[in-house]
Amino acid sequence: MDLDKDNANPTIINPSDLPSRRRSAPTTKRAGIFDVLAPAYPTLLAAPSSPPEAQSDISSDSEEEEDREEIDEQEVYDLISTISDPEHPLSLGSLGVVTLDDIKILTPTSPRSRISTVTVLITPTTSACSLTTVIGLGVKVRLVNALPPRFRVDVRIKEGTSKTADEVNKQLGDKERVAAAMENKSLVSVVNNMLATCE
Amino acid sequence: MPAITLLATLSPPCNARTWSSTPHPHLPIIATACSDKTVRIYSLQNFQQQSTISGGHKRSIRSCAWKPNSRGESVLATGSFDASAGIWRRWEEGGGNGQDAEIDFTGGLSGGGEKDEDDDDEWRFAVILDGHDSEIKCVTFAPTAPLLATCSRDKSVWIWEELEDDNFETVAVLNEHEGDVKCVAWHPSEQLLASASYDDNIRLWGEDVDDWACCALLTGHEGTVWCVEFEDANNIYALGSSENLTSEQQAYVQVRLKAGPRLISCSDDMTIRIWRRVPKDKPELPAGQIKTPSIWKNRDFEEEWIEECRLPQVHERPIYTVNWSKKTGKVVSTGSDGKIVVYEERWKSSKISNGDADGDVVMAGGTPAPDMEDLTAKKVHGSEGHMGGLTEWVAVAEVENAHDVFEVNHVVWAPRADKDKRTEDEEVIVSTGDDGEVNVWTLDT
Amino acid sequence: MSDIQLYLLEADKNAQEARRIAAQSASHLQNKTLKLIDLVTSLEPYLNNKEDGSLRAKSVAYVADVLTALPPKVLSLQERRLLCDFLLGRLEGDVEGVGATARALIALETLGKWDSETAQGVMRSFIDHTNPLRQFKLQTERHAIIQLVDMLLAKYRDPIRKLNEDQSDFTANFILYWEGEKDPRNLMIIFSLLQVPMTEWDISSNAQDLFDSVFNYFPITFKPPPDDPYGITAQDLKDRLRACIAANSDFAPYAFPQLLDKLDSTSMNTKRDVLVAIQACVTEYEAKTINLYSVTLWDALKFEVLNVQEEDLAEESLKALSMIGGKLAELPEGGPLNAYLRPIIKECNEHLEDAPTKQSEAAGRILQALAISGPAVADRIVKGILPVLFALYHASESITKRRGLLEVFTQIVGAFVKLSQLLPGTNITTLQAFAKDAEDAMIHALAKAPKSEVSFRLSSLTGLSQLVAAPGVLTDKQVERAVDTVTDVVLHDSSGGHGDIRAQAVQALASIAHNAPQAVRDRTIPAFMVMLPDSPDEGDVVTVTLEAFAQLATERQVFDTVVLRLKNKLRAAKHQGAPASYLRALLLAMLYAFTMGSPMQEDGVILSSYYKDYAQPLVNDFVRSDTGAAASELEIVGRICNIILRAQGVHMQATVFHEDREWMSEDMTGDSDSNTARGPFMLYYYASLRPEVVEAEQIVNMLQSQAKQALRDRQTTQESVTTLRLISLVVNKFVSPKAVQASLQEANIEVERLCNEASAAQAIHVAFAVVKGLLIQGKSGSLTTKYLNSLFDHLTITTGMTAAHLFATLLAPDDILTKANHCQISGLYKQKVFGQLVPKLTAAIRTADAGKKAHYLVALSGILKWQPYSILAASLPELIPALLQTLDLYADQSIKASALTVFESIAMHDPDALSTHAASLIARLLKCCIASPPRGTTTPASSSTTTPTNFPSVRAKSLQCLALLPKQLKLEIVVPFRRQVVKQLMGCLDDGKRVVRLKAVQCRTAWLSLEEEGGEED
Repeated sequence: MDLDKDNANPTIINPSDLPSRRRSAPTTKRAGIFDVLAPAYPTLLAAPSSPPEAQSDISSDSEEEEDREEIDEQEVYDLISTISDPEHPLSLGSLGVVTLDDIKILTPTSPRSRISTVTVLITPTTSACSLTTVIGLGVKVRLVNALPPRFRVDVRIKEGTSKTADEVNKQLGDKERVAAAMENKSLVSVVNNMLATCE
Repeated sequence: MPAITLLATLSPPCNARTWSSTPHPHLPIIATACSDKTVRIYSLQNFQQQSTISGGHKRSIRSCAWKPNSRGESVLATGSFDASAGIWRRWEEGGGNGQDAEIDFTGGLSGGGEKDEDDDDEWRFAVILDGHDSEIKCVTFAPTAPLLATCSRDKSVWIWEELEDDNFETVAVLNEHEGDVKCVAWHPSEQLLASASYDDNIRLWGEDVDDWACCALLTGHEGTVWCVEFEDANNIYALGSSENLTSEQQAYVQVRLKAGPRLISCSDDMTIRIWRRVPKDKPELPAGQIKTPSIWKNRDFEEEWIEECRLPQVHERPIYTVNWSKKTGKVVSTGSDGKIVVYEERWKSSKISNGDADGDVVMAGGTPAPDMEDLTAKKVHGSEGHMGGLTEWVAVAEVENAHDVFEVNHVVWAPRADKDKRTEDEEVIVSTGDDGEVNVWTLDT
Repeated sequence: MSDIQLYLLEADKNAQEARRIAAQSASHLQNKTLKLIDLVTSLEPYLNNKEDGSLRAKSVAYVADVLTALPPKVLSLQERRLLCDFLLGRLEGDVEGVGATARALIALETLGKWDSETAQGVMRSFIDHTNPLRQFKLQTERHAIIQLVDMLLAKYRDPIRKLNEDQSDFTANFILYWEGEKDPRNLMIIFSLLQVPMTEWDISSNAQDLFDSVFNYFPITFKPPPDDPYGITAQDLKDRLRACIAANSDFAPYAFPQLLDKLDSTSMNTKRDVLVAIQACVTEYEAKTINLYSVTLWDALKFEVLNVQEEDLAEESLKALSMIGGKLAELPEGGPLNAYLRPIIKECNEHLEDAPTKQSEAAGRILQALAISGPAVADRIVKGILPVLFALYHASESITKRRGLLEVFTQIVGAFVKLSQLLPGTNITTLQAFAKDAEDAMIHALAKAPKSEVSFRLSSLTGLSQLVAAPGVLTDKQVERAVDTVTDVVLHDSSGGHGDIRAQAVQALASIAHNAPQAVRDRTIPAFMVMLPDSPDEGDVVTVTLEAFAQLATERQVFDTVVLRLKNKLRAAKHQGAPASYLRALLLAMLYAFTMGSPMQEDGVILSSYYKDYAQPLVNDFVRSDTGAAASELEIVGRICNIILRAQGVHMQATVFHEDREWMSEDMTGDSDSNTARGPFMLYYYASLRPEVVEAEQIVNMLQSQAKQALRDRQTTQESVTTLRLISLVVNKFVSPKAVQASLQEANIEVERLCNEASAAQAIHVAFAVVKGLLIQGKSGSLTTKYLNSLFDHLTITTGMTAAHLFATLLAPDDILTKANHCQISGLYKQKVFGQLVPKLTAAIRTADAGKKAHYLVALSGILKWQPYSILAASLPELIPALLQTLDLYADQSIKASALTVFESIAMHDPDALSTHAASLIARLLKCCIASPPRGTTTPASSSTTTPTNFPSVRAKSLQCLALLPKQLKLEIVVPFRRQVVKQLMGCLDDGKRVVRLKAVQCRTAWLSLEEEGGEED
């Protein structure tokens, strides 16, 4: 794997400027700092009348069960932003290779269909990034492994950011090639190294 | 309108992606190529796994092909991502009794010496074909000659000739494609090979003065061409008896007969296209007769094929396989969107409107077949803008989520063999998916 | 036979004996029965034996041993001279037994000091006749010689130094002498003795040789043998070697180039050694020497910081750079320092041009490190950097760039903060010049910049608090401006949404309060008060403000002001009839202040006056006057009293308690409703009291009344929890161990009775409460044992499930029963329960029928839930099968959850214990991680419940557990399951809950990464 740095000193996005669910969550929802002061005592001791399991310390989420948290762009972003760039010891997120705005989820086209589509546009660190394909592959593999199979994953190079865009797009779009690549030990190890930094 | 209903899921399923399934030429079994480096042989009678082929390949097996008319012993070719193709042999059930002579003979030739008992139901690894630089994507035997075609990501198509059993010789390495060659298919009656490629093109290859070369380039697709296949010579009769046809219709039949089997292709661009050979003015020499040798580039050798029409677009994502029923002329297709769609060609219901036509008109789409002017005309650029073709393709049945939410990689017509089969030549549709399952479907009209 | 003959016989066989013989001859010499001259002559034949060198060596050894054994004053000066000359004389012709010779000489020297000539003579003859040392193969021989030389250098410094001055060739030979020594023991001494010439002799002419002779060993790579009796570590050697390298400024011309050359090494350890060595040189060498190399050093060291390979290397390099700065600052004339700083400042300024980059951040670190090295340096850096920095700042529109620049500025300020801690009164005038500029920029950033520019505003925030922290840099007015801005962020920054920096702002405010308390008191606190109405209409914003306000209490300087304002606000609010939620919030704020904040203390104990000033009034307002305050409010008041009161001494507590007992007493006895109502307060109030404060008879009363209530069936959950906890408390803390059973009977809550009259479920609850108190106390062991058994027996009855669940409460952590609350906490109660009950349970589980089995399983996991793993580890073989079964209890999530926790720790600590159960464990985990498990798998225990679904927490937990297996178990065990697990987990990727999905992804990744059999090349 040729790791000649195309861009030795890329601009790095400060972590606190990266999109995150924590920050985009409305403050009203977060638990107040006072709540910990008077914790609910393990209520197993509670009134004999009520069946213990109904109020075991985790019973709270039996209600939560109803409202399903759909997989959204932020979640996809969190899955791939932590992938590390093969030539810098930095995350794709902090390098701006993947951004929240360039992730789109398309819900099923027809009521009968259950297939959703995730489209990720990646922005190479330089227009001549020799490793664009590898990065794209890393993103694709990560999402194929981490998203439920009802998602179709399309990874593309953002228009006008790379000379080789079309070529790369076609490769990443070719399931047969991706499958074959994932049976190639040396390629797999490169990709695994990139994904090692993922949660 | 007809419905596609699930008849069975072959069991046990594979724990990993399955790529394609190929029905045996005369036995009620089907071979499934799996990414776990094995081929699983299932029975179409009881839908149970019958045997497995493993240990021969280091990576995914992408495709396999049965050697035609090999009685007494089954011969299977496997193409793998490990860049090699394998040839496997197995005595057919009961093949042993009454045919000892034949078996000993083959056994002797295959260098196996005399076969011992357990050989009977064992798959024997006969020979490995090396030569490709990278993943083999498709293998297929020729119906008309002892030829095997393989194609690979290395952009090449190889043609191997089996001189005698298990002795294969490379007769041609065809390098004109500019991208992976995804699929190869033989013409049912001529020594003509079609190949589909990542370079968005289809090429036809023939033997020009005992030298294989490209005789036609079919352009038009706007994405990888995943699969090509020739129709059966008799498909024309699927349109119905030649009685009470209008004059145009009869003329069209003539052209079709003259042109011979058509070619169908499906692509990443979500279209399915049918290609037809443009007949030459001077009568074609009957197939098989030797052309007059010439040191000049033989003009007759060049063939011209045109896009006759496109099938109605039902798929919403890349189409991976299209398959043409030898019996009914129906076409089945599948792909990334997990749908299985069946299409039928019929005379355009101008005055003759058969019962369910109204129901189908809605489904009708794509581009109409060309009308008389085009047929007589030499050149036809695609078929855009030509109104009132004679036949039309209609999507007659469709099933979504054929393999749950997974992509479907392959679909094929196979003779129905289970106890509930309704008619002698009833066919089933066999689909192969990313979920590692192989589903068998019936088409109920 | 003569001694010498005997000695020679023994010498090889038995060194002990040989030495004894020598000692014997020594005593002969002492009591004059043997003359020295005879002894010497007796040696003749052996000493001069031409053939046998070892014989000669041994006879010298004999001499050495004799002399070593000899007490002082036996030999005359002449005799010693004679012996000395004789020994040295031998060296010229014969070096056999040279080691012994050295030993002999050392012995002689101890018998009587030498004059300069002798000392020099000894030294010379060794250097001249036994050079180089390495010719002697025996380490012991060389060691003896080295010790001799070491002694000479230690005791005869001047004479030996004169050798260096008078005899041109001496020092050269002296250096050569040690060449090629490899033995660590010897090197330890050599490195130390060489420091004498290095530091005390004029070695200008031999500097390079001397330096090379030690630097050859650099970097030392030495692994001490596993059982090294001498216990010499690589570090010892490194330290001594470093001392040599740094010993003399004359080494600089050789040291720095070679060190910097080695700095390019690819081995991180070498680089480490180099950096430490450089630091040593910088400290030891003279400033004027360092001056010659300062820029060269900078050019080399900067790379370690500009592109960091290993963080610690960067740290060391920064340290070195800083030391150089400090060193040069020592020089009276400023020239050298400027010369050093000029290129640094130039380069850093260049990096600032394209801030923020790795380089510009590095520049910030460098400048800070240097500035810390001293006021002079800091001053120059400010002058050199800040004008450029602010020019760039104003020239640039890019917020990111401005952020980068501000961060560098803040680092420089940080240096000043540290400086003024190290040497107060550091001159900060230069920095002051830029303070206004900086403050304006940051204030503008905080107030005006788009909220989405989080990092920009954050760094401005830290910048401001740093500025305030640097004493005297800001004028009081400027400080107030800073305080106002930050306060404003806390109070008015658009809450929620992308880029809410309130939390950090509150932090900053607290740290500002530390450095500028007055400003915070005058500006922030009033501002907060304005935002806190006496009686608000809508709640949320207020609680946010309140939380922020309470957090200010973490700074001692403003603590009192904060709580005082809270108290007044609370009174006003109550007066205005504010909504209960607001009162509660205010109470919580106070509680927070006292628990998390830093109240004033008196020798480690919170001031007792707080009780009178704060707790008392609350008690009066909320508890005494029957205002029907909500239970939650009472609890909070209770907690506030508790936190202040519990630390106080007996006397203080007693006075408080006696005041309160009147109005409380009727509660404790009669069971008026106010009694139950005040429960929550009582609980915490009594928890705070020392046992000796409450009299016995009160206790009995209390126990009785509480028992009465507990056994009443018309109680809310909240009430019964409180009473039960009170019972545990009283039993544990107040009832004297001797009187336990009696008092229990009096209160008629004797456990066995409670268990037998299993009628009311309340009874069993009380039973557990009592046992918990006793158990944790650990004073009355036999009784507890008895009670635990009766609890266990209770499981067999059909309604045993209640009891089963209560076992979890026995060991559950409890913020009432704590040492801080003067409770009796036995260290071993968990072990006790485990030892007594777990074997019985596992046994019962094996035999019991499905119905009962469920009881045992629940009880078991209840006990295991709180056990430290170390206790479980011993009995895994029995536990694992039982735990696997608990995973089938779809009914109970908490049970399952705790079982999973146990499996998690097993997988962490004793994976092999799971190997045999892998199949069934994996199958169960896969079931537990899907929302609704397949039907028909539910056990009788769960048949009661309606929805057999796994809660998210359980799903997440089991996935977490499952994820451990591929990492922890042996490959051959897990690989067979790989494809199956990977396939099944696809379902979990689509779980309804995000947390679960995250776990599913991690788990699946773990399994995917398992190496499949049949790997291939390429």
